[in-house]
Amino acid sequence: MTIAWMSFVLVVAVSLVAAAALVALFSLGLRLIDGTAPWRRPVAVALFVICAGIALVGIWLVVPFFH
Amino acid sequence: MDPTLLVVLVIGLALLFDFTNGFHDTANAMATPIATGALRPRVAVALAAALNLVGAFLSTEVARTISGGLIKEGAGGVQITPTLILAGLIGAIVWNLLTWLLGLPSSSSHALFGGLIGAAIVGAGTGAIDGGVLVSKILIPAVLAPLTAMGVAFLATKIAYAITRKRQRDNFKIGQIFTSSLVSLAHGTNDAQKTMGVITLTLIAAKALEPDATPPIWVIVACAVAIAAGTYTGGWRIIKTIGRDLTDIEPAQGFAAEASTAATILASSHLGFALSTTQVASGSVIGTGLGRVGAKVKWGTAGKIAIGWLITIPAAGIVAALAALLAGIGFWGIIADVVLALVVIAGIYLWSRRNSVTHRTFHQPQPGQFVRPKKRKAASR
Repeated sequence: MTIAWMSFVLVVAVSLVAAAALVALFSLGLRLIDGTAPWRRPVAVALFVICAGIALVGIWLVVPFFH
Repeated sequence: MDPTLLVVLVIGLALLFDFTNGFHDTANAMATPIATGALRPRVAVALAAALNLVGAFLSTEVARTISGGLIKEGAGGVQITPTLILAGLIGAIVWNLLTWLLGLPSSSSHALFGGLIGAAIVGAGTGAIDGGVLVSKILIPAVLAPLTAMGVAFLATKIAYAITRKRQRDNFKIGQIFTSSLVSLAHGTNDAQKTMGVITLTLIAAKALEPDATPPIWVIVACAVAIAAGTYTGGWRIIKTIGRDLTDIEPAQGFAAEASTAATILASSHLGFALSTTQVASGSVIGTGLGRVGAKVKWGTAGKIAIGWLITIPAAGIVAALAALLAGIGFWGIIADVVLALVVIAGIYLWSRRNSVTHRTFHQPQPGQFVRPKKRKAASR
């Protein structure tokens, strides 16, 4: 009986970083889009685009056809 | 008995299992958007069903062994016969329906493994089970999955609430739709192919397919449709447990929880440490309840769910073992098995009608929408 502890630690680390990054970017986007300064809107949109990119990476990982 | 009839019965039960798998797991992806009102209940289950259908076609690579090494298959172990699979499926289906009746989210794969273990023990004794694999692939991950998801969702929730202000948080509903869809798609690619594997291996065992064959197209279509239909049916009791009874969920929490579920599942399936989707999803909801100041986690509900997980494998195993004993009689034993299983299924369905939980339970009127006032009973003096 062997438990792949290294894999498990890796899974925890990767999920923590990925979930935290996605939530932080999206939250920051919501924070910035709600304001009047002219620079806020484009930055927020850019953040949402990055979130969409992360989601696409997720889809890429889900579909075995791609890799 | 006539091998063709047996194979037909196994395929029928496998598709029924696929259906229960679908409605048991709708909640994993869609309980949080339904709870926060990000998606209307019917729209949510339709979206999940469509993504499960698509997901099933995207991933048709089936496992080479039915139990992933849990049962010592082939030479030196137990021969996995269609009869054994039949008994295992009956155990899994009955347990899935029973946990649904109680509104408990439990892992469908664990139910299937439990059923197969029970049937294999009756057929070949406890020596047929690889205890090491049972502990390292099932029991340890079952403890780690919810704890990992809890930690991840806790952190994600803290981040979401630290960055945003109160009036901005309603827009998390838009993000929720995407994260939940991702979880749904992942479920479709993962779970439909389990049933495809069961049917394909049964056909191989019956010599209707070459060894190492890929699933025929009709198997793929049937499994995809069964899991999508099951998902659309919704398993509203489990949605209620995860979305309402564990903790109160706000849009920011729903987004954080589902992002954590997606991240944890994808990481686990690609980095060689498989975790159960159901257990990850439930853990995420608890984690997000702990992460928001003012939210309370109802530990009584969480405890009931944990007990459900604990007894899933033995319970499905006992049902399957009884079915295997009966099937040992021969032709009439197998027929009796199937008839009894159908009677139990019908019984559970009828019992569930006593207090039905449907999509109407989750009806949330939009602000400004006209709500038909409830009829009052004639005023009594």
